[in-house]
Amino acid sequence: MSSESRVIQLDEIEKTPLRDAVMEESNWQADLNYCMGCAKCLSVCPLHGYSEWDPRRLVRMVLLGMEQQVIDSDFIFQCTGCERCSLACPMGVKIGNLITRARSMRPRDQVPGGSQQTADLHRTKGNNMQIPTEEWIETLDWMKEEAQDDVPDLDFPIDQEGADYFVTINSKLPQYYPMELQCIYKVFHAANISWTMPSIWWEGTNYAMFSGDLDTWEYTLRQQVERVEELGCKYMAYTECGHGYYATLAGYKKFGIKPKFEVVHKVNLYAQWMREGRFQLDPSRNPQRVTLHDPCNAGRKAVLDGFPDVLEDTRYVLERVCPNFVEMWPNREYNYCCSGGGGALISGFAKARFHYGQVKVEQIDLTKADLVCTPCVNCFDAIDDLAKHYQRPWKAIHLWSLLANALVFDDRQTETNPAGAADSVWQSEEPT
Amino acid sequence: MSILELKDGSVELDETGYLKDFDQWSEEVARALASRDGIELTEEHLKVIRIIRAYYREHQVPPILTLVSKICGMSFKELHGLFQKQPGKRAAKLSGLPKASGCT
Repeated sequence: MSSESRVIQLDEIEKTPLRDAVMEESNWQADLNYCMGCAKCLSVCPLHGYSEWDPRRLVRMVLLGMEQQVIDSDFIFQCTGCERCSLACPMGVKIGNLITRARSMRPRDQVPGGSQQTADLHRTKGNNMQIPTEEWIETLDWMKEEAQDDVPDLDFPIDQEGADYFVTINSKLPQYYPMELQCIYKVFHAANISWTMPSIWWEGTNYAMFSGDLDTWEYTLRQQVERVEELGCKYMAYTECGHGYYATLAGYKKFGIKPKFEVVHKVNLYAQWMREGRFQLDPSRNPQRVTLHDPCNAGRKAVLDGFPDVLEDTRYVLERVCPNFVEMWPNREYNYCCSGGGGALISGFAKARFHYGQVKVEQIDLTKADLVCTPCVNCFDAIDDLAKHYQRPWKAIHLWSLLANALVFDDRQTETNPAGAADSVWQSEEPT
Repeated sequence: MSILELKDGSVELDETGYLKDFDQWSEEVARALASRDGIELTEEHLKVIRIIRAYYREHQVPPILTLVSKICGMSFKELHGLFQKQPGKRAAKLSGLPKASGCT
């Protein structure tokens, strides 16, 4: 025993706010005391081997009353929030809840990287990238006009009361990839349903969950719920953003929010509309070899929490729009993080990210795919970063891009986005 | 964190390759950053970059891409061509802006 070691008397541990909060949240059903120390959690953790910390150590330290060390550790923010640990735990300990609670107990000005700043912007500006409403509307309209070059009768209202679907969008699209909006328009237009784009509270992410700002998490959800209900929409079509979708459903449950509408992931809608025969498709337009990266939040974490997941519906759609679809291994709820989960994209731990991202690179390489489809804007950028960092030829692509490219509109549709990731809508054309 | 070597001195980059200090930007910095991405900077690039910097200096927010397109008088196709298909993210990086908020 080193000179710094000391004996902890369990009956002398008095205050355990972190442990109490986690236990209370699970209605005292997922007692951290159930942890047997079996190490299954650490064996599946992306950070195992990089950090001295791991999920088992985290649980054991909390049980030993060492809460402050846990709250102050880098590990809780390096964690990808993938919850492979929770899936692996034979005793049902929800380690993800522990991480979120630990993050929430870190003073806000000590949250590493930009996740708290992003959450603050969401709260004060209504979206993560402080896009003013006027510019948002202008972008929506401009992209609509561009999409009408391909599909002349494409149109949609903004803030339409009584529309069935309220469509959320990740702010990264209008900010950096506005052309991608056209893919989403085309899919919703082709489905021939009643939909509206909102002018405010349209953000389809929620970084407050990642920064551990429970108050902002709840506030932003309630603002969005209020807006959907004001418009009287039946559904909120949640965009291809895994954590935003999960944060919404988990947040409703956590904060006791009972909306008068249903939240449906866009991927589930694509599949539903495809089953209903609403789309005319030409899959030969997507000849590349395409693999799939399952997003943790809309996959495994949704499964663990009993929310509708996108795992089978993503495949249902992909198999019908990509003739050369190949699975990655492991997949579905056993998938491995994209390297950008849990807020890692902006939490300032890029070295860790690229370290455990090597596993994802190997998994993608083995598929020999040209394109890595992922129905999650966060995974998209993480995979794009991996390709650049490790100089790989494959590209990330959203599911909406592949689906929109395969859509046939009364034989008028021209091929628009055959090979590219979000940044390469123009890949098939020379800039003029 | 890494160091970008220049002819005279050097500047600090964050761990994702963005300039750490907005005010340390110069055309030479932009050229050095661009060459890392295989881009040879032209006056057209610099026109876009100067507009992005001016907007950011005034608003402390990166301009939305439609605004860049409008102010520069360049189509999306032109911007995509200039900045290797990433006119939003890459142009912001070459302009010396910090990494944006959100999942980028």
